[in-house]
Parts: sequence; C-alpha cells; structure tokens
Amino acid sequence: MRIKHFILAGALCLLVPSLAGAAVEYSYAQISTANSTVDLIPTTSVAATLNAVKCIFPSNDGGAAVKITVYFGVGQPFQQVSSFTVDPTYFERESNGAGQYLSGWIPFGIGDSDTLHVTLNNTGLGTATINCWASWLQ
Amino acid sequence: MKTKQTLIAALAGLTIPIAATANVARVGYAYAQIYQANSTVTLANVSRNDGVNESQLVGLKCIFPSNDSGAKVKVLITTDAGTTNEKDLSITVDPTYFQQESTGAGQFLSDWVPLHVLFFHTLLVNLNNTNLGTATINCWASYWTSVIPE
Repeated sequence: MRIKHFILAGALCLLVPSLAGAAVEYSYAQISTANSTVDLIPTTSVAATLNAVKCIFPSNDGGAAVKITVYFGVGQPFQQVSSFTVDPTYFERESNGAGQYLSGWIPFGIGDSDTLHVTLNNTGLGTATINCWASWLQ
Repeated sequence: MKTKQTLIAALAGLTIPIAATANVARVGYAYAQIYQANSTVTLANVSRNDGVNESQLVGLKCIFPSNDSGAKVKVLITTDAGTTNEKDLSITVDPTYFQQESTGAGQFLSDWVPLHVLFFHTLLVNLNNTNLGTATINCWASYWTSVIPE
C-alpha cells in the first residue's frame, strides 16, 4: 500500500510542473555603442520558449544592422548557438513620427528543454540606436 | 499487484513526454529579393543531418513596391526532399489588398504570415514570379531546427 502511495505522489509531482503553466515574459534592450553586445534576454534560470523578436531602427539608420544571437542550453555540453542579422534596408517604415524602420514581430515559437539567452551585437555592422523587444515564456 | 503495475505504467507514461521534449534549438532568419522576370531565387535552404529532430518553417513576410502594378510572387516550399516525407507546397502572395505604408515609398506589406510547416532534415523555400508580373519584391522567412542531444 505504501508503494502505491509513493508512486501516486511521484506521478503527481511530475504533473505539477505541466499544470503550473508558463510565465509570459517581455524584454527590451537598446544597442547604441559601436562594436558592443547587450542582453535582450539575460540567461534564464529555467527552460524557456522564444516566441518572437522585434527591432526598430532609426530613420537615419545609415545602413546599420544588428546581429541577434540565441543560446539554448547555456553552459551545457549540448548548448546550441544560432545567430542571424537583421538588416533594415528593405523594411517598412512607420507612417508618421520619425519614419523609423520596422522589422515587425519575427515569429519563432521555439520551446526548449533548457535555458535561453539572447543577445544583440553590432560589431562590424555600423552604429545606430536600435531598439529590440522579445516575447518569451518560462 | 495489478494496481501497482498500472501506476508504474502511468508514471512511465508521464515521463516519456518530458524526455521527448528534451531537445535544443537553433533559430534561423532568411532574406531574398526577386526582381527579374520569370525567375526563381532561394529564400531559405536548410539542411540538417546531425540527429535533427522536429523543425519548423515558422513564418514568411513580403514587401511589394508601391508601383507594383499587380506583380505577385509564388512561394515554393519543399520539405525533406528525396525522402518518403517529402512535401511540396506553394502559395501565391498577391499584394492587391494589402496595407500600404502611409509614408516613405508606400510599399504594400504582407506582415508576417504564420506558416508552421514542419520538417525533419531539409527545407527549401524558393520565390518565383513566372507569369506573375515583375516588381522588386523583398521577402523574409523565420524558422527553427531542433536536435536531440546525445
């Protein structure tokens, strides 16, 4: 009988995390210093899902782009690092105000079983004040 | 005894989904421009043979010029080419009723079109404008791949 109770308790413990649901998170970072790196999402302490990323470039961007690097499984032997460059050259522009260049929300929706870390970097990509946001879950 | 076995099986059943999601991911972002009449350009070409797990073409976005004059673009998507899972899909993106930038060049905007097309090993996304008119059309795609760590 005790074994049965023990197994039941174990099963319940496994169920609890899936029932608890994820916390919705929203991050912002600005990069403006030449050849620098800033955190868009600091390393999470638990598994996380990257929903989407958005960047806005100034109207006087002058060709500056930003490199976004995504780390899953930070510090683990199976860590995966991927990066891509967001170049605003052909982006749409806001309809009034300064006429900034808009990436829109770039969808990813990728969940992972380990920690997440996202950085912005502009080394060799020109310099402008670029604002980025991320929507994610943990 | 049967109750105990049933509970153990249930416990194992609960564990399996957790193990199945034990993968790590890479994200991808691609851009291409098409402007030559009756041509094809590659937007994304992804190949993973290192223990790849489920992967996904997540979304697609195209921007058409304000002087588009009816030009459209066909998006050809091939997943897992040469395997029994190969799928060939295509969509034609027509900007006729799209929103336009109200300043700047007044471009037509598709916004991000959610696709969520699954693949396991390869993904090829081509843009083609054969018989669809000619304009300078810019497109982007987002995708991810995942790998089960060894």
